[in-house]
Parts: sequence; structure tokens; C-alpha cells
Amino acid sequence: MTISAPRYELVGTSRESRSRRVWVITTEGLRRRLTGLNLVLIVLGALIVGVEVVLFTTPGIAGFLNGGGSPQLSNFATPYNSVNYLILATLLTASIGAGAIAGDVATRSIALYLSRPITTLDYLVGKGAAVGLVLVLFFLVPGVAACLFAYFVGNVSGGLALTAMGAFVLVGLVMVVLFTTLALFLSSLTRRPIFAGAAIFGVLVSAEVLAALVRSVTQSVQALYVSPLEDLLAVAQSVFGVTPAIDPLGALGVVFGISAVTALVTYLRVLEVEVVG
Amino acid sequence: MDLIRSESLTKRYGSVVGLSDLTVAIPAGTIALVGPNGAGKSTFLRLLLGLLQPTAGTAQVLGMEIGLHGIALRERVGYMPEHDCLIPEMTGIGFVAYMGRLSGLPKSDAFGRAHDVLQFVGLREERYRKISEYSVGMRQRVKLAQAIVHDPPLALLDEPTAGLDPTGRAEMLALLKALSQTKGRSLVLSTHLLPDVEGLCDYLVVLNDGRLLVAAPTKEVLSVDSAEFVIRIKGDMSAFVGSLQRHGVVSRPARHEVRIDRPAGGERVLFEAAAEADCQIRYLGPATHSIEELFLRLVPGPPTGAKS
Repeated sequence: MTISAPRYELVGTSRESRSRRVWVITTEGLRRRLTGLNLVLIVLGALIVGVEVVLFTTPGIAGFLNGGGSPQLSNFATPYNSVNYLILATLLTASIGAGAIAGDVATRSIALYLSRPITTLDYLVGKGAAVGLVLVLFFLVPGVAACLFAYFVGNVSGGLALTAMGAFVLVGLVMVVLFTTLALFLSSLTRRPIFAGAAIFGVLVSAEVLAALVRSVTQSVQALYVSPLEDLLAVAQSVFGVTPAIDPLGALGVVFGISAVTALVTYLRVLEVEVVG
Repeated sequence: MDLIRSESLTKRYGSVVGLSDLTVAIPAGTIALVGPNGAGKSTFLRLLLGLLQPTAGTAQVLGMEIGLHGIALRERVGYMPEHDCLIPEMTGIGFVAYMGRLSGLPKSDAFGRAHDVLQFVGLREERYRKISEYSVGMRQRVKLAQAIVHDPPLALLDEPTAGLDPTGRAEMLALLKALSQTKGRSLVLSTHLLPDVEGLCDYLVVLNDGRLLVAAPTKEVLSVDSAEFVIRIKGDMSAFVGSLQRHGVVSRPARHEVRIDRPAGGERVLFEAAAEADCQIRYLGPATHSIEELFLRLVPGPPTGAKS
């Protein structure tokens, strides 16, 4: 072993801001998440959005699919016609969000994070941003790219393309907020990322199955509020000009309610982490 | 300026007292923080890191008020936890630089420092390997490296030699010694391995039940106990002990020496007793105590404090 004094010459070195430190957590999180299965799921999601938009906006094909009509905003909503696209998003969220906090708790590296000059909120924002940015790649980027394709290659007017782009951004942000907060919350409940992943997928899909069952038994669409995926679907369909099964404002309230409560509980749970123990 | 100064520092968790009315001024240097389970060591460290607000009292670390300057404080304090806390899928260099960046170092400085400190802890060759491939000793060294990567004037080290084999322990102590000799750097070691403290620390803080028992230079605490003498003799130890008893001197014989309470009438009686027993006194001096002995004397209950 070599013992030689390190060069301690950092007295004059300026320190970066706290927001920069948060960004460091985010970029490290992104680096670890943009691999393997996650990339496959992102590409799959992009293909779903891309292919459907191309089909409905390419001259010839669009005319055939639309029964001769010109493309409308609702044609861009095809990914949100059913929960399949959201189930894929759930899979991606489970994969990228499971280890967000649970991984740090499992390795106990969370103690090192919190002993650094950042706050608990900084830590959570950094972790959440890493998860959220991957979801942005899934929800926003393909939609926006597809709208640009529709404008430059398809037979879509600039106004419609811009409106569709705005709709993708708006809906995408709502999706990102709910999936991110839910993932962080469930990840904070356990020290095993695999349990957290199973919980993320299990909770969302179980709620969907439960809502469908209750709806079929009671014949009441109100049951759909139980499922966050149905709530998201209602919001998305409403933004894209499709009439949803449930009231979109009510659904948006449920989405934001879940997001706010899970974010708060996650914060309180991480506050309880013992840095020195 | 004191490294740490507290005035009636108190921390309560509901009805449980974590730290009670702690008033202490600790100078810069290498400080040992010892105490049994529940003594208040962890609470004290949390307060020093600015992670807890005191219930009452005030304290300054490096001249900064704790509780008010948590972020600024942690920029200037490094922390090495006792437990494993590394990210296994990262390389040694990547991890240490990452921790440097979280402490606010720009990217190039963080990597430069990470190379420096990993060389210092003896992981130059292994720095590009994943942490998951490291041995226990190597992981312990990475923990030390991340605690000093941002060049903090104060490093809080929680059981730095825990889990190491004798060779690894000696190497870690050598590193800490080298580190403690660096100008402008102070170390606070929370430990229950008392022999580690004796050779390394120049100031000792003993806590028990959240209260301060001792805060003094280690040499002062360990060296002179004017009420007790140590005598080493050449000759028959049992005869000498018997002779001491006849002269009214209370003695506590050990294998190679005998400890006595200082005779009221002066040391002459000791030589008389030795002459009677046909022994030669080869050494006579004030008793010195190991930290272990001191600890046993100060802290009632279990023999040595476990980690709190």
C-alpha cells in the first residue's frame, strides 16, 4: 500500500451551486437507466406513437383510414385509445423507478447522499428528475417528433401539427408527473428494488383490473376513477378532442391528488432515513 | 478557534434524551468520541453534520452554528459511515468523483481529487474496477476516500476500522495517522475499539447516557494518576506484597508489577518494604491508564461500549 499525502489544494476552488448538485444526481440516474430493457421499451413506445401518427397523416393511407376525411386532432390520440400504451409505460416505470430510492436504501448509499451538502428535497428532485426525464423520452419526444413528421411529410397543416404537439406535451407532462411520483413513493416503501418494481406494475395493473371488474358488475363508469391508468386515459382523450368515458376534470383531480399525496409521503419517508446510525 | 464548541446542547426525541446539556470545547486535532450504546454519539454526530436541530442549547462546528448552516457545514465536513454504503455498480474512481461532485466540486476538480485520494488510500491500481469486485478492506478505503474527496477541514469517521482483519486495521490506522498529520485537518473518530484511540487520537470525548463524562487531551487523561503508583521490582513479588501490607500500604499486584495507593507518609516506606523483602525497586512512577481502564472506571455497566 502506498501512503503519500494527497494534494490538498482545494481551498480556493469555487463550489458549484446546489441546483448543479441536483443535476449531477439526475445525470447519474439517467446514465444508469438508459440501458438495456429500458431503451427497448422507449423505442417500442416511440414506434407505437410514430406508426400510428404516420398512418393517420400520410397522404393516401390517411384518406383510407379516415374515410376520405382530412386529419384531425383526434387522429393523434390513437396511442391513448386504449390502456395498452399506458401498460407499456407502466412496465417502463417499474423498470426505471424501482431502484430510484429502494436501490439507495438497499446499498445504504442514501446515507452518503444525505450527508452531502444537499437537502432531502434536493435528493428527491434529482432522483425524480432522472425517472421523469426517461418518461419524457417515452411520452413527449416521440409525440413531438411525430407531429413534426406529420407537418413536414404528411398532409397536416401547421396549426394542427402545433396543436397536436401542444397536446402531446400537456398530456405527456401529466403522465410523467403521476408515473414519477408513484414510482418514487413505491420505491421508498421497500429496500428491495425488485419488490418496488413489482409494486409499481402490480398497483397500476391491479387497479385497472379492479376498475374493469367493478364497472362490469355495477355498469357504472364511475368505477373507472379507481384506476390511475383510466384517469390518465380520460385526461389524454379529452385533450386530444376525444370524448372520454369519465369526466376528465375529475380524472385530472384524481391524478393530481395521487401525485401530491405520494410526493408528500415519499418526502416524509426519506426524512426519516437515519444518516448516522 | 475551537473545532467544536457547544453550550448546554440538548437533543430530545419525545421523552427520550439523546444528548443532555452538553457543554464542551474541542480543539482541532484528532478526536476520539467514545461511549457505550445509547451514549449519544450518533446524536452528536448528526448534530455536527447539521442534520438535526438541537432541542436546546447552541453549538458551533468550524465556527458555524449547527442547525442554521447545515448545507454550508456539510460542504466543510466529510463523513465516513460505519456500514457499507457504496454503490456496487460504479467504479471506485467514478464513485469517489460522484461524491465529490455532490459536495460541489466542479467535474474536473472532482476527478482530479478522486485520483489523488484513491492513490492516498492505496487503490490506485484498482480505481477503474467496479466496487462490487472490491474486498472489505478496499471498500473501507473507498469510504475513507469519499469522505475526504472534497478536502474537508473536518472528517467524521464512524468506526473506520470495523470489520477489518489485523493487517487491514493496521493499514487503516496508518492512513488515519497520515491524514491526521495533514495541516489544517481534524478527524473525529466515533469508535468502540479503544486501542485504536490510544495511538491515534490526541483528544478524548467520553459520553454516557447523553452526558459528557470526559473531554480532555488523551495524554492528560491517560498519563498521570497522582493517587496511584506503579512499582516494578527484582525479587519475590509475593514477599514484597506481604511487606507492603505490613507497612499498611494497600497494593494491587499484577503479573509483572504492583499498583499501590500513594502512601500518606511518603515514598520512603516503599523502599523500606522492599529492603525487608529483599527486593530491588526497578521502577517507581505514577500509574498510567489505558483508555479501556478509564472507560471501565467511568462508565458503569457493560465493560466496553458498543456502537450507539
